[in-house]
Amino acid sequence: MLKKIFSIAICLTGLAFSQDVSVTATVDSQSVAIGDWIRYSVDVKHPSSVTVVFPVLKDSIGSFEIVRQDTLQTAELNGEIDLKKNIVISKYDAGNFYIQPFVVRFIRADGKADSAFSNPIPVEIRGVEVDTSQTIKDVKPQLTVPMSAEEIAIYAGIVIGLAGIGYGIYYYIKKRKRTAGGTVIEEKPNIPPHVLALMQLEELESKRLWQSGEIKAYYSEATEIVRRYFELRYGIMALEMTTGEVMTQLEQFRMEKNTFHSIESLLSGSDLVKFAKHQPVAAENELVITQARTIVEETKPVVEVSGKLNDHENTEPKNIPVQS
Amino acid sequence: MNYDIKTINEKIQKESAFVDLLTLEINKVIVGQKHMVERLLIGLLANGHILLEGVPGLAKTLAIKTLASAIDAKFQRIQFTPDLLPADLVGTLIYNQKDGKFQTKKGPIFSNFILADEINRSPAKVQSALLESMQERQVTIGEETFKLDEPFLVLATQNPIEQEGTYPLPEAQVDRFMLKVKITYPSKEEELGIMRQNVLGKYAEVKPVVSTKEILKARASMQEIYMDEKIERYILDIVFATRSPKDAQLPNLANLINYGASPRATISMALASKAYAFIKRRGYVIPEDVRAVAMDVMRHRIGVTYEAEAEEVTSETIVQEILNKVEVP
Repeated sequence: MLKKIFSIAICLTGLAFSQDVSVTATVDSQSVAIGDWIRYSVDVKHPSSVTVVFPVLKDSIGSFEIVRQDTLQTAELNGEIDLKKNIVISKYDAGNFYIQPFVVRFIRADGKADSAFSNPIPVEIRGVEVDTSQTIKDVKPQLTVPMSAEEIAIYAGIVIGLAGIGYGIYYYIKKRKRTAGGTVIEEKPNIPPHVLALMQLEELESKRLWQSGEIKAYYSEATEIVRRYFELRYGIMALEMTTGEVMTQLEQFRMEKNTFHSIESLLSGSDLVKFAKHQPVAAENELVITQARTIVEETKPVVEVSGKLNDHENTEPKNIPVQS
Repeated sequence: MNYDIKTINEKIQKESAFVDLLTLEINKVIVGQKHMVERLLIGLLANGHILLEGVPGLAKTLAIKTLASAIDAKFQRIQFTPDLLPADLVGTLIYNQKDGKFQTKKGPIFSNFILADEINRSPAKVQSALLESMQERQVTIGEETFKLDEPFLVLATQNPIEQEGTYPLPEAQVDRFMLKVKITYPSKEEELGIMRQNVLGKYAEVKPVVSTKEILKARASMQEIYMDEKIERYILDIVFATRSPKDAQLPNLANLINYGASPRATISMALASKAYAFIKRRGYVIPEDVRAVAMDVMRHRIGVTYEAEAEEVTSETIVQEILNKVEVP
C-alpha cells in the first residue's frame, strides 16, 4: 500500500503540461545503489489534431546512461493519442542527481510549433557501504570456465594430428636410413669390424673356392673382406679405391711397418691374380687367408683393461712408430 | 704366372724402354708438366688426339714440338684464326701455267704432329676439315685422296679465357678427341727452373731418341696388353654411371647430367688404360690405369644441365663423384 502511495507521489513529481499536450516521466525507484538499473517511463498524451515529434534517444539521458530502451507504444482512445516508452537507465557515480526534464516537440493544428516538458526527477545513487569492522579481504580469484565438449574435441584433434605428423617424420627418417637410391641397405651388425672380418675369412675358407678352381673369386673375396674391414675400421672408402690409393690412405694411420708391407703385398698380389692371369701355387693360396687374418689381428683396436674396445677413431691400432 | 702373360709382360717391358728415354729427352726442355707429357705419350700410343686446355704460356707448343723432335717426326703448328680456310689446312690444287695442269699443293696437315693452336678461333668449316682428317686419317684434294702419315697426332689447344669471337667446338666434334687435358700452372720450384732456363738462354738440344717405326711397333704391342674382364666391366660401370646415375646409386647426379659419355668414351678409356699400362711398363691393365685416364677421357664427354651450371657443378666434379662411388674390382 505504501509502495503504491510512493509511486503516485513519484508520478506527480514528473508530470508536466503544455496546454493540451501532457508529458509524464516516472521512475520505479528514486534511491538505488550505484550501477543499479532504474526503470524510467515516459508517457505523452495529446489530441489527434496535434503532431508530436517524439525525440530519438541515443545512449544517455543527461548524466544517466541508457542501458536498454523499448520501442515506442502508441494507443488512441476517444480522439486522444497516448505515446509510451520504457527506458532502463543507470548511473555509476554516487550522490544525488536529477533526471533532466523530458522534452517533446509538437506542432499544433494551426501550424505553430511548441514544446512540452516533464518535471525533473530527483534520484539518490547510493555508494557501497563498507563495513570497517571487517578485515580487508583479497580480490576474488578468476573463475575457471569449464571446457565445453566442442573445445575438448578441437584439442583432441590437434593432439592426434601432431602425433600423426611426428610418426610420419619418424617413419620417413627410418625409411631413409634403411634405403639409399631405392635399394634396401642391410643394417650393419653391431659387431666389431675385426670380429666380422675374421668371421667372413673363416666363411671364405670353408667355401674351398681355390681348391675347386675358382682362384680369381677366392682372391677377390679375400681382398674385399680386407677392404671392407678397412672401411669400417679406419673410415676410408677402400672398396672404391685402387690398391695404390688404399695404401696412400693407410699411411696416415699408425701401424707396424711389417703390417703395412703385408697389406701392400696382399692387395698387389691379389691384383696380379685378378687382373694379370697370375696362377698362384697352393701354398700362395693358403697364405692369403693367413695373411688377411694377421692383418686384421694386427690392426684391430686395442683392448682396454676393462675389456672394453676403444672407439676406432680415437684409438690407434698399436703403439708402434709410424712406418717409413 | 701364366706363360702368355709372362711373355707379354716381358715384351712390353722390352718395348716400352723407349718411354723412359723419351721422357728424359722431353724433360730436358720441358720443366714440370709431367701430366701433360704423360698424356701426350698416351695419345701417341693409343692413336688418339688430344685437346689441351690451358691459359697461354704453359708450354703447350713447346711440349709437342719437343715431342716431335725427340721422335724424329714432322711437326706443324697451325694458328687457327677467323679468316683461315680449309684449303690453308689440307692443301689445294694450283694451276701450273707451264704444264697447263693442276698440281696438288699439300697443306700443313701432312705431318706427324699437328698443333692446332686455338682451334676455337676458326669457323666451323675449318674445324670440320681438321676433325674429318683426324677421324679418317686421310685427306681428299680435288679428286685425289692422300693417306696421312703415321703416327698422326693432333694436339688442339683451347683457351679457357677470352671466349669472345670464338667458335666453340660442337659436342659431336669434341667427342673425337680421345683426351681433354687441362693444364695448370707449374709449381713454384718448377717455375724457378723455367725462369733460370730462359734467362740464361741455354736451351738443351733435343735429339731424336725414338723413330716413328718404333712408335708404330709399340702401338702394335700395346694391343696385346691383357685387360681382364673385371677391368672391362669396371670401365663399363664408370661410363654407364654417366648415363644412368640412379642405377649407380648416384641419384643426386641425375639432374646434373644432360647427356652421358658415348661408346667412344668406353673405347677411348680402354685404349688409354692400355697405353697407360704400357707407359708404366706393365703387360696387364689394373684399376689404377683406368682411374688415371678416366678424368681426361670423360670430362669433355659429359654434358651438364642448366641446374648443374647454376650450382657450379662441372663435368669434372661429376666424373670425380662417379669414380669415388663405383666399386673397384
